[in-house]
Amino acid sequence: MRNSLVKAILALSAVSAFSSIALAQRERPLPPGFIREGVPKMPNPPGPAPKRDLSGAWVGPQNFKLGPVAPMTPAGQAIFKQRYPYLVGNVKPEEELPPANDPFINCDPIGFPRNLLAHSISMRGGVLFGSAPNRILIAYEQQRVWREIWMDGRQLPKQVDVKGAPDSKYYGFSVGHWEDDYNYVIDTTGFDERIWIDELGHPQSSMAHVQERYTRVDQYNMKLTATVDDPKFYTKPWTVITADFYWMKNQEFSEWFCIPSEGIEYRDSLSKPSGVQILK
Amino acid sequence: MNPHTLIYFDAKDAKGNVVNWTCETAAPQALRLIGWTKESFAPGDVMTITLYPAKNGNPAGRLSKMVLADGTELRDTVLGRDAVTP
Repeated sequence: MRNSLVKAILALSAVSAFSSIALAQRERPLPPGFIREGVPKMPNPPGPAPKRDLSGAWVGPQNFKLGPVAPMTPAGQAIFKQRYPYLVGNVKPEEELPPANDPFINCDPIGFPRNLLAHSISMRGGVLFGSAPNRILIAYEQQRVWREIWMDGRQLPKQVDVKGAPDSKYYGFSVGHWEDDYNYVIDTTGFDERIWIDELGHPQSSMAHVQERYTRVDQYNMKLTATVDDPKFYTKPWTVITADFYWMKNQEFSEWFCIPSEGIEYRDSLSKPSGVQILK
Repeated sequence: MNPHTLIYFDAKDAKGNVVNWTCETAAPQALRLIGWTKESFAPGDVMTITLYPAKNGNPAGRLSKMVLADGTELRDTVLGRDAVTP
């Protein structure tokens, strides 16, 4: 059966494509406004960074590095063992794909900080820094979600989901401050523990402390380092992501949603026929 | 469609039987950045499709590229580069 279908593909196309075939380095066409893959046009030199200002649209993350993930505690390992990522590489043709229970299969919220990583999928994610009274807003193209970063000196919650404390959130509670004119630091905690911290399903406890440091290098360049300190699930703090962002004055954002009804169609017409088992 | 775009098409296998295929490519906003639009093609168009087939042999896979009747190429964001034998 498999051979006959592969032949069908060969009949369709002059160029066959199998996993053992190497990919040539042919570049894809660039969209308007970009000088290379994921990098928008910018002057040379880019010009000085404005002081205490990240406002505007940014392309990224680019040049990102994820992890390495710190060793987990027994409590972290217990949760991790129950999580099955959607895609696992190097599955042999004769093997069944393992089951998957990534919450994003059903378009459940990605949550923070996984949403920082999720932008990596497109290589050209969009992030918009704006402001409102007492807070900075960060809007993300993917899922059209935003975060509120409070700047009024308030304290983060000491606990969540207990009497007298606020409810946990997929994107947590965030406060920010300028460390100097070019370094903006955000501290976030109070997470919903259904969050996967990354696409592999690593856990994150409700009182994990995630710290993002945005360094504005110049007008067009910004660097991010995000670390997590979560002693409930990890034996030491670790770096979730480091990445570069590029300022793009006139970037237009698309609607990039995971639409539940279309996600169901995707699951039923592609994932399951391809051998992916979806767990509840 | 979101999160990823699906293309449904019919193709004849080696015995001449029509097979209904499902082919995945990237999210719409990623495709738009490399030249795709909603008007790029329409139901009934005849085209050449190259894809990475599912390992279990079912008629499903991930797109590499589509070549329309007028020669226009539409490529996948991830697997759209030309394939060559090593």
